[in-house]
Amino acid sequence: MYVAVKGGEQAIDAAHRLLEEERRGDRSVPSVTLEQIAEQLTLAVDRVMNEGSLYDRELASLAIKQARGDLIEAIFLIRATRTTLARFGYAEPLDTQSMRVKRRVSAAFKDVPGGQILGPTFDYTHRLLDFALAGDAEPAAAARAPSALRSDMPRVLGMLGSEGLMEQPPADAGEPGDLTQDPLNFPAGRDLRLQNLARSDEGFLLALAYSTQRGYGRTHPFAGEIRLGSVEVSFTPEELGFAVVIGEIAVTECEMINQFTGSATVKPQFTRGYGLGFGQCERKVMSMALVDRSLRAGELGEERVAPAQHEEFVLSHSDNVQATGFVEHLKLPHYVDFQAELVLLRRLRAEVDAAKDRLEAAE
Amino acid sequence: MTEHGFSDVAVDSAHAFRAIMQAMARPGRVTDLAVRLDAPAPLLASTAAVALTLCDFQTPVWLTPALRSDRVMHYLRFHAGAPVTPEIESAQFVFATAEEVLPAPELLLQGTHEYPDRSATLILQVTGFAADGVRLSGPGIRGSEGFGVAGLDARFWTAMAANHACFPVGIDVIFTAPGQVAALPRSTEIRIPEAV
Amino acid sequence: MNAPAYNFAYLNEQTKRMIRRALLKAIAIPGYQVPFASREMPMPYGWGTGGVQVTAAVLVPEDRLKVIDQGADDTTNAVSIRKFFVRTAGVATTERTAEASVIQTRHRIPETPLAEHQILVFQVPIPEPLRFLEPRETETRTMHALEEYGVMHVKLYEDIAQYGEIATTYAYPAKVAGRYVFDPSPIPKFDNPKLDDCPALQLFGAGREKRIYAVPPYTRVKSLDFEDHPFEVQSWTEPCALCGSRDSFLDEIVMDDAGARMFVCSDTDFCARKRGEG
Repeated sequence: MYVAVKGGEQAIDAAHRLLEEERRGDRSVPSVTLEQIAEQLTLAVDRVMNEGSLYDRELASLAIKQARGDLIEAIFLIRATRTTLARFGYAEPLDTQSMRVKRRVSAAFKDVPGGQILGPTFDYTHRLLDFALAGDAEPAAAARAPSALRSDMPRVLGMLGSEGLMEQPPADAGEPGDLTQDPLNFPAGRDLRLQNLARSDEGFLLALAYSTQRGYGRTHPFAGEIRLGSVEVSFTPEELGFAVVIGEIAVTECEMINQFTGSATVKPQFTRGYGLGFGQCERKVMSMALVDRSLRAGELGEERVAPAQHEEFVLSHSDNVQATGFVEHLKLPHYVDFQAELVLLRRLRAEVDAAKDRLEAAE
Repeated sequence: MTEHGFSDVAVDSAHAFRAIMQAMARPGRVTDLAVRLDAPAPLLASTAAVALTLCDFQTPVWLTPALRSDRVMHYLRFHAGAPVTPEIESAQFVFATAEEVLPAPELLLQGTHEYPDRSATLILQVTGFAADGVRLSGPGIRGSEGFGVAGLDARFWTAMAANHACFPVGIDVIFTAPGQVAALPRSTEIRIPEAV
Repeated sequence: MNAPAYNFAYLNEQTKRMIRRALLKAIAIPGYQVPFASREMPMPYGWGTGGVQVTAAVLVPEDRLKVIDQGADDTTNAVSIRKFFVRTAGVATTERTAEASVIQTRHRIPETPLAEHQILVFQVPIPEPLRFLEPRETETRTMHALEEYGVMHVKLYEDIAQYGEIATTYAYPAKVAGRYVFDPSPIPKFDNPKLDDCPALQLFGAGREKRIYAVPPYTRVKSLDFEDHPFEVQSWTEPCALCGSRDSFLDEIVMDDAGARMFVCSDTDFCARKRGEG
């Protein structure tokens, strides 16, 4: 006699305990600390803060530990935590011009006012495994720039603007929207597109950006300027009425210069693609800038022919918390729907057989 | 001094919402709305409960002259954080009392055929309900039901019938009376007897 | 680092107000998909976050909650969601359909008829019934605005031309109150007739797609069909092997390596009551 399987609850509890044990690994090895993650897996922490949409190195480190290093799972943990946090209001716009710069490069000019500053980058390292890192060897102290860097690092794209070669940003773009407070509707403005891209999965953005370089919606990009450093965050409390600095965050910014052939009303000039993210995330902000520019196809009168130019396609599939949830939900039981399909398929096949029989009988 | 709002925001607003939702789901059915809060006159406690349950900094509200007192406005700003707007066409919630000349429904946000949800809700404070009056039918109603509201004349019902004729765009109404709530969504068909 | 204390039913009050406003609009415009600013929940998108947010916004502490997945109370995801609400809202739970005041479901409507005081909350993966015919939201929104559902009828008619019948077996589209074509979530079409003229309020939440919609009580829900091909539901040649029911939706259980199988009720509560248990 068949008895329906019971015990979902015990099975879940047991699975969770097993997960905790596997996460811990060999108990003779010390447990990794949040400080170690925050200090030594900094780029993983940056990515989790970026796509998790929450600037908190400690929470991001905890999420990475809890997720066993699965960054999409860690991002998901941060997003779910974000849901429970009280919202006080919106910060003032960041002034990235007054960034305390740690790294700043332009591929458009050999040298620029303020200088090319290489900073902490994997670029030009030879990707050879460094076996010294397998041990406890401490690195030698790094040399620093002898004099303080300029505190008002001029923008490379601004230098082009004075000649009229660079499109000017709109004088007043209005209050930016917030897709975490109002659901995204289409067509979306550039403000909401950029917010969506900032939260996007890095791999998805990278692939889309790459596709534009291979001819699926070419935009002829030049890395006008990439800068990494820290900026102040200001907030105006309702009861004070003036802005106060509440802290400092690290960000990476990318301004891409793209060709534009001009139109009947506009002389040929360069256009912009923009990217900004928490922490050090150059791959992310460069991809973001390329996709931002591609998504401006409609506004610039370009024909939309490639995936990276289709706003609904890009914005609806860029969020890895949404994507992983829906892909992985196929693990959930679907036996009711499957049964419905089985019933149909069996009947359709029986009808085909019956029709064949009738045909043979008639012959 | 400000009259106090919900004493347990999460639980009190959950109870209030459940009553409002049941009322909206069953047009014309009068539902109990027991609330523990003070409200500045002439705002009824039930009207205040609706405001604190549904309004916040994301929902501009508009008030009829009888309600547009400093005390009421302060109460709504303090407890709900809701901006009080002078422009009725930008309000998501319009508060009115049946004793006044009511704003014509078509002055309120109607929504569009693409987004009919982008419309206003009228919170209409009344003195009480009656079983006879107009005859309602449509979603939420088994067959048809009688519904009457003290102090509302045929002009109101005619305007609401016109509102229904524009479905899916249009406004929805929540009636508040002492300890009670009822609703009239845009989906409800209204039959007005000759003698109302 | 201290663990935070969560609010009643997890969501903060501002989120609840936003969802509650959307729910009222959904009830006032039956079958219309109201956009809402869905939040990330502590379970994955696609695993019931829409239903969970709707349930969290309507729950009161006195509720008695039932959660089912595939008709069963003890499927893993149903267990997980039920535990979430016990933990965050402290509500009582039940497996008995008749005792529940709020029922959250994935893929089924209980066999036991619902009553006026009950609320049925559906988890919805893809709320847009036209999505697989037209992927662009801007286009489908216009189709709903113009009540232009020809493309759906063409699709169903093509089924008939190819298979001799409509080959949609679940998530079968229906028209609500004579206006909006809607997706009843992936319930088998067997359950579609239960949507119609139901005394309970039916709420639908799609978290990932950020949509809420509703069917108020006693509302006409008509499954799409043609005069010469009327809508019909699945049937089985044999009864439930456990309770003998001939009018419930049956799951097929594979019994051994040789592929022997039996059929049992998908609604575990209904089946248990029928057998005189509990």
